[in-house]
Amino acid sequence: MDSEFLEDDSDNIAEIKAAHDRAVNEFYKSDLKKCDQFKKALSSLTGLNDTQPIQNVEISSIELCPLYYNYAVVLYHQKKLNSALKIMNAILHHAQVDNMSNKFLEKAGLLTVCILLDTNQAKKADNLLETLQNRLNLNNDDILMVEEDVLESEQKKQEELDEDQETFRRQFRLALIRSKLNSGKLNAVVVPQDETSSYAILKAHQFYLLNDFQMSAKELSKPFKNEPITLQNYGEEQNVCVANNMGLIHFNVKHYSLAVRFFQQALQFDHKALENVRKENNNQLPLHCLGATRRSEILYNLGIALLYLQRPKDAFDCLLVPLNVYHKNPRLWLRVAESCIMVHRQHLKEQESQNKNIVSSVIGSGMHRKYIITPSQQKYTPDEIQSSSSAIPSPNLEFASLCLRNALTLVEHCRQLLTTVDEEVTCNPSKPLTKTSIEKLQLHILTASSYVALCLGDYTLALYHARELLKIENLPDTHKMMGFLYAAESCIMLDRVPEAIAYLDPKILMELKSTDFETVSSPDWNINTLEAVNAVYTYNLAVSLAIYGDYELAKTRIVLCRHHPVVAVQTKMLELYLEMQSGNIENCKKKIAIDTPQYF
Amino acid sequence: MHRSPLPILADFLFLHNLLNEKSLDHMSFESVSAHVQKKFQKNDLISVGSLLCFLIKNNDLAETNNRLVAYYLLYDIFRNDNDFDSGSPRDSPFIYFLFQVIESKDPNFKLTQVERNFIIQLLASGTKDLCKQTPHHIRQTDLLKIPFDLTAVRKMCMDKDKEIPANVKSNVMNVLSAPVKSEVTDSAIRELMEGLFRRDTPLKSVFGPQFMTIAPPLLPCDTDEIVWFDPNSNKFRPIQDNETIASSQSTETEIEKLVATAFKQALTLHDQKILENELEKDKELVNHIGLTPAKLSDLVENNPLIAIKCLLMLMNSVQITEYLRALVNMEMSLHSVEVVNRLTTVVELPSEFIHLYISNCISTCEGIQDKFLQNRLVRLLCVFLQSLIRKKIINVKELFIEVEAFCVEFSRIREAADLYKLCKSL
Repeated sequence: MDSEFLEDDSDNIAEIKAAHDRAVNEFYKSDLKKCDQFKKALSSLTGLNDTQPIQNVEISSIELCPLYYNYAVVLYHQKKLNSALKIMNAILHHAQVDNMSNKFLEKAGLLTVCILLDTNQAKKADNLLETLQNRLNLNNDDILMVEEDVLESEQKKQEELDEDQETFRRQFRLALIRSKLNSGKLNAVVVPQDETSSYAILKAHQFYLLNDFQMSAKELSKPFKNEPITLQNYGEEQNVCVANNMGLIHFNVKHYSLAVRFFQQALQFDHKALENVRKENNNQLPLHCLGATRRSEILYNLGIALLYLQRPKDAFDCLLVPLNVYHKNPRLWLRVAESCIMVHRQHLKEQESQNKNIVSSVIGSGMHRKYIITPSQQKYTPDEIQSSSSAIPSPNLEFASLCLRNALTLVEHCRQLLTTVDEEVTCNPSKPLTKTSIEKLQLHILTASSYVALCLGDYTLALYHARELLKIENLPDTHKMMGFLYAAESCIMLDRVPEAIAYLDPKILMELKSTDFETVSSPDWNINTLEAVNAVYTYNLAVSLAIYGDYELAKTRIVLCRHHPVVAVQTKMLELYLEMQSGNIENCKKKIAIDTPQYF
Repeated sequence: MHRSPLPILADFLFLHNLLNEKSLDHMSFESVSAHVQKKFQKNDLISVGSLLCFLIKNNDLAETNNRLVAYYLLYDIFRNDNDFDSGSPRDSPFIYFLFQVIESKDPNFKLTQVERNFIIQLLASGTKDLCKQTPHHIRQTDLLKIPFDLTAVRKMCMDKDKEIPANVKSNVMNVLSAPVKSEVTDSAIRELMEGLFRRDTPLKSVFGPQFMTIAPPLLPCDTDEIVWFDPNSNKFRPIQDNETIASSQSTETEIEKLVATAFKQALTLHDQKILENELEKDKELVNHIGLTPAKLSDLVENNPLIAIKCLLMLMNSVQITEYLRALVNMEMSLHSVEVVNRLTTVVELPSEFIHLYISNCISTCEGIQDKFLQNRLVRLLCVFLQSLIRKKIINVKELFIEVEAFCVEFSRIREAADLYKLCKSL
């Protein structure tokens, strides 16, 4: 049972408090290392159990708040943030209705703010900070220091405050700056420049959000004055942050291989830090080191960078790790599918590049001599090896299809949440999704779903997705093109050739504009001009006509696109086919002579 | 979809040799067919059929004999075991091919009249009449005296054809005859057969119109997606001992804080009320809140009502003189006047204090440079004095000269003139 079930009895409360005090003292005696024991004690005293995510928390008396706070602290360090948040909300509720001391409110408030920031709920964090400021009567000047010379005034105040207060103010300021940066209030915050790593990273963040990547990198490259912040002393590793953020900066200026290197470095730092901490503490980690790894998020960043660097197999391996944790993130499922699709495409390309000639070989001799025409490429060969061990996912199209189904369901769900709640939906580990980003995500998922279904031979599904895609209002031209092409191909495979020809009507081409195609920044996308679009459309129309048996009309279409590099090889083959079907064997031989004179 | 591998090369060579054997001429079709079916597995018969089509289409079977046997095999090797009635069209997938052969318009394709008739008879009436015949016999006689009607068979074939999707039907074998380059060698056939075992073999590949499928581009990645690491070095530690929460001692600390703020800025109405209540509740509190005469002016300027409350509570204490002295020496302002005013209405302040205060105020007013501010303060003082006089708090006679001079100096201001009149009237 989640809720407090003990009677609201002052004797009972005193007992609980006493037991709690004992547990805490013991924990401190163990140097904050006997975490399991401590957690067990807290769990039995609060009646809460976090083996499942905690749903309801009721704290019967304000006297018991420290007990619940301590439980939340343990959960926080174990990165069970949603459960911790539920507890903190219950505690803060008491702050509203009862008379809570400022000292405790400071701690509880700050912890809640950090949990909100860590779960990408910056707007809520900002609101909470404002409330705390008012409630605790924190003067803005003390906290934010609008002027540049922070240190001087800080020093003056320091004489008046005790160490605890000083720490609190420092943490409060860091949290405030973080929340402002992450909730989009970039210009409302002035980051002190005191050459410590924390502020340098925040300043770099500010530059980064203003798209000033050079200055951002400069901030991160400065030597820091402070003692390095490590896992052992502070529960996080500053090198990891710096390396990761440098990776982000390089990613944003399209230096993908540098980005990959930085992310890999961040991983190494993270791993080493964990190793060191384990060694230093004889494998009994103190509380603040418990969940201190950032491996999942770094692997997310690394996976995306590898995808853009066109190393999809590696990207796939990386992305599977955060997928395990953030399995409600529709965009992450799409990214995994994208890596599977890229693996497939690279495989196809490899096959294509093996023979671009009309004739792939010559067999026999004398009057039995024959040209072997380069066969039509097989669309997709299912992964024969993997079908047995389906427990381990593999970057094939079947898995992509599964991913896309999940992505579609999740993005639909996000769409619905949007109309009922705020303008943002959580999407950890990334920032929350806005309405526009959800819409963009959905159309990418639909397009990919249609493509994958097409490759796997599920033409009915492919056609369905293509039609859903084409129903969307204000569809970007690139997706419109793909929608029509996928629909046409599906129709052909479903033996509905006249419909396919309708989807390839040249009139559609006239409505497309070039701006959309020029700005596509995906690697390995070569349809960048209207001429290229035209070429692909015309070629596919010729194919449809050829399949329909209308060879003459097909020939007239082919003439229009034969010179464009995007379809050069394909048109060559189609022309040969048309000549063969029309009985013009001599023409065929002439073509072969031009294409591969050595075989003639 | 599991692809069956091709039968081995040796089997193909066997087949070709069989078809080229001289003795074939006098073997019955039936026996050749049985021979072949014994040699090859059922799964491989499709490949056999494909090979025969390949050889027929590309003119690799030199003699009519060979070709007749090939046609027969194409028709017969796929027969259903239970179906002994040789009158009905077989289930051979190559029936369509046989139609193509007899209807071919390709000038390069070799087809004699005998062969054509043979195929037509096969298609129309099956193998029942032909199975015992030999190629030799067929060549010698001309069987096609009875016109055979192919419409039924053709219809059945077309119907079946309709079931096949257009994109499949449009595929052809990926082979073309190449120009003769060198002389025929003995191993020509062998080379040919070996060639059919390559990866791109026409027996397993197709050639046809191929749609170009464009793969979708990657979803653009913006700063919202990839994760920036902000510093988060918060070592939250568990709370120890009986820290905090709602105890009365903490209330006091809170009040101290409130009072501390009261010296610096105006409190919100809410906080003001809290402080007033607390002061009211605990008479001793005013001594514990850190108020000193030195700090009084701050309190007066920021929270005059609180100041009034505090002073009232301190009225009977020893320190009050000090506070009053501080008040007197305070810079004159709206708030300070208000505080003094209120005090005078509630308690009886020592008259020396009041006189001193008034004198100081008058000097202040005379000394101000800023005309605007001066006017304001003069008016304030006049109103204040009028109030004091009316309430009989002060005896004008004692201050008369000073006040009169003051009023004359500022006679341009209406309130001063009023005051003067008032004084004169008493």
